[in-house]
Amino acid sequence: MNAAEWGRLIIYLGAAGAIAATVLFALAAKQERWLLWARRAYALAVFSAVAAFGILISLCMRSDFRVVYVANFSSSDLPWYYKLSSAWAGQEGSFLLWAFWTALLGLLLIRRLRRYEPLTMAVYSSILAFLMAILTKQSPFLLYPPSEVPPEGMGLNPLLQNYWMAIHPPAIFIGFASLAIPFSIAVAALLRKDWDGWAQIAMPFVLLCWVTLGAGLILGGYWAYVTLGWGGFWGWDPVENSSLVPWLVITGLMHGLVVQRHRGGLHRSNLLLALLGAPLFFYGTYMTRSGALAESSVHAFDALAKGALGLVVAMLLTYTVGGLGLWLFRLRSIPAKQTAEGVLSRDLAFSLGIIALVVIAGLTLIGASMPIISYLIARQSSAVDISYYHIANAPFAYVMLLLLGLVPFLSWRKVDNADVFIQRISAPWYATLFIGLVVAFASYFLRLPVAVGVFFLMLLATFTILSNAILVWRLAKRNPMSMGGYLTHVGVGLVLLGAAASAFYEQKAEAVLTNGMTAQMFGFKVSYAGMTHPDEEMGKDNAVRLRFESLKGDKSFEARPVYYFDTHNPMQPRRVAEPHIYKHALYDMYIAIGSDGGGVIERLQDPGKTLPIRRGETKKMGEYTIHFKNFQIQGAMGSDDMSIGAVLDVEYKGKKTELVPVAVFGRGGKPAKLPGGGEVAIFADEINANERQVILHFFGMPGQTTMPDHVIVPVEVKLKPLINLVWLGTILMMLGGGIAMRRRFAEILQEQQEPVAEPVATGRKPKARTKPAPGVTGGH
Amino acid sequence: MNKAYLVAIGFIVLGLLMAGRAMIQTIVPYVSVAEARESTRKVQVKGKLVQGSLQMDPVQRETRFIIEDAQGDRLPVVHPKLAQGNVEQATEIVAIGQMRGNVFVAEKILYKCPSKYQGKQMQEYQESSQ
Repeated sequence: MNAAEWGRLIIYLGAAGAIAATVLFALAAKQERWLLWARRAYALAVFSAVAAFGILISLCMRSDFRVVYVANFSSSDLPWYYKLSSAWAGQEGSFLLWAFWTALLGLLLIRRLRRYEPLTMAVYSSILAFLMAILTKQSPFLLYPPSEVPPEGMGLNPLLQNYWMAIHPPAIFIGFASLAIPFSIAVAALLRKDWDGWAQIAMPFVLLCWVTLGAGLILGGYWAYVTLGWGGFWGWDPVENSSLVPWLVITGLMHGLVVQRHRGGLHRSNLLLALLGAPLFFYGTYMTRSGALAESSVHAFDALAKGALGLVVAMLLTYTVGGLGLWLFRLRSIPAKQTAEGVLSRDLAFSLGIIALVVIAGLTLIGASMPIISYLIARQSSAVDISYYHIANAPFAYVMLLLLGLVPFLSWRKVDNADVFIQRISAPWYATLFIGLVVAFASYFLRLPVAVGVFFLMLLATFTILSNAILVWRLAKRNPMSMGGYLTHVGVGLVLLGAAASAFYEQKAEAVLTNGMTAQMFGFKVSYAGMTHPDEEMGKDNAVRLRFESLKGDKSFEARPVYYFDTHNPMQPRRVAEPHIYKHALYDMYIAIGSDGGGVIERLQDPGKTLPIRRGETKKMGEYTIHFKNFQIQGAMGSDDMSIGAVLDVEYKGKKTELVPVAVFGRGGKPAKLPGGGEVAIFADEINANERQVILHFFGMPGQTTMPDHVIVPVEVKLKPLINLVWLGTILMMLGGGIAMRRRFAEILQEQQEPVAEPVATGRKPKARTKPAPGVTGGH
Repeated sequence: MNKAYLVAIGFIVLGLLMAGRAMIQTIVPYVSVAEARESTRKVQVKGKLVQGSLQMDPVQRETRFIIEDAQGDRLPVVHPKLAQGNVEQATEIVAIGQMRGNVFVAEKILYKCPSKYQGKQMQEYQESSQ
């Protein structure tokens, strides 16, 4: 039995283990003696998921093309890190990655659950069981029949051959996998009718989910920015949306849990949000993998095998109906405590913020589902325009930013005196107003474009940044562990400010360059300096060399936007273009071939000189003496990749060389370089087999009055001001999330070490919870 | 207290109404060639690429082609950029844009090519947008 067959077997073993774990954990909730066996079954599932993933990686690393998956997504000439990432580049591999992280996270989870273990793990194992069952139907270990094994793989999509793309999927799939944790704990809480204990266990895992999903989204955005040539980092694509929506819901849950901890409220909505995260991602999986969106997304995967798709639908229905049904069933017994005590209170701000987040998630979900909704209504799937997401979400984003700016100065209880509050808030408020006035005047005098909505967004983002930065500054000395949230909010403000500025104040310049021509763009003189790989112009890794010299003469650099033909599959050569990004502290210059990375480089039509020649003949052409020796034929007669070469002996200034220009059927050909400059080419449709004659085309010969390198290059440069704020903001968000996560893990560790772990329902003692910035109760 | 909730609910209702309006305004309906000719808004038209009609103009930076819908109606399309990838091999094209005179100006085109990366028989759409 070879490794792939073992892999298939192990997947079945894992599915069996996960199903057994589900049943045994459920039994263990009643009788503790089943617990040990339940854990053993779960361990079997973990072992299987890890082993199967390991086998797939090793098959990819060894380029074992007997395996269909490996042949489809890898090739032997890839460097090791892209062979590795081909393990999750395809449909089956990404499901296995999902199962792998789900299994491993369960090990981290199981140690923190204590009395919650049986019920939570029963639900959690059932999700793993679904994933393993999907993998039995859509197996990455399918083998070709021995006679059909291809000699070489198809290779990895060149767009995925980027190191950001190598780390983005592993990161975001930890996030996807961890969505199952709050779901499972919430189900256990509903079954146990424990309305507070669950929140404590779930908190650090919710943060883990938030950080990993967030990091995945950010890496994906950065990849789109540097590789895809969209010119942006976010495109409201269905695949992006299906990760964004659960992330927003988890963000809401995270804040709801903080309110529950500090004020003892929001029990109902927190359980609801915890139950929504995972099903929303299952729905996204269905949308992007069912082929339902094939007509409106570039990214959507192709349709899953029927059995696997059925299981995805079953999974979506089971957990949506099961979770919401249980919640509705228990709704009347969940305490509903009023928390907000006043208009100027942190409680109300949190509640409104959560509502804003959930509404944004909902509107995004509806927009992304439009193709499905419109198909159900009108049998034609119509997508919404991207502007929908901006227009619909804007009012709620404004409210969210305003709340983010106010929150640092609000207490958990009502602020008695509004004057005190206004006094506290005055510094960031006046600073924002001042900056706003400066920008308004500058816009007027510099004739910058103005849009009220964008200006308002930037103003609110500035306010958020300033007021949270003040608090971060204060906490950094006093209590750094509690500054995570505020640091994240500074980051959110920076991301939105940078996104608004870089999109709205973006400037664009275009030019068509050819040899010896210069164009002026943004204070630079730009000229075309050839290709990095002129000999194999369209071969892999070729880039266009563009010289940028500042008009003042103090700065110069060479931009190298990638541009080549990916000919891995001769049936479908495809242009690959990636932008070159010139980084400056205040702006990025986004340099692309054609618009949005689109264009083509065209050879100028050069009639050249022609010379018909028969086999065995010797003729003169300019300073060349040419003898046509023979034909050189490769590939099967009549097939698409058949190529014919003409073997020529060329004499130039007393020196003899052999040249072989090649014509490939259906795809032009490969000219040969002439000594002394220029090239000679033949074309398939001009080959006369009966007469044994070809027509030689001479381009750019010495003495011929064409340009030696006659290409025209469409160049587009976009100036994106303040885009670095986006990247700075994302770093602060992740840093803030990381700090908060460490704090919450430390908290449950400490609380679990306390002898009395059973919390009293809603009557939890509020310890030290009246300060505006709640300190850590743990030992920091 | 109640006032604050009323204001919040009022705001949400207003926001949702605006979102609903945005949805109606921004949805891009699928239409036939005949309907596209009559329309004054942004629409999407799906059709086959008429063989030999594809022209790429690197100087004007335009892609021009003709599509034919299921009823056999033909529509000339201009895409104001050079499309990336292999439009030549497209079996089916979705053009998203608006009529300008007799020509359909597509700010975005999606085209389906026999795909290389997802196995033999499967197909995927590629995208080109302005």
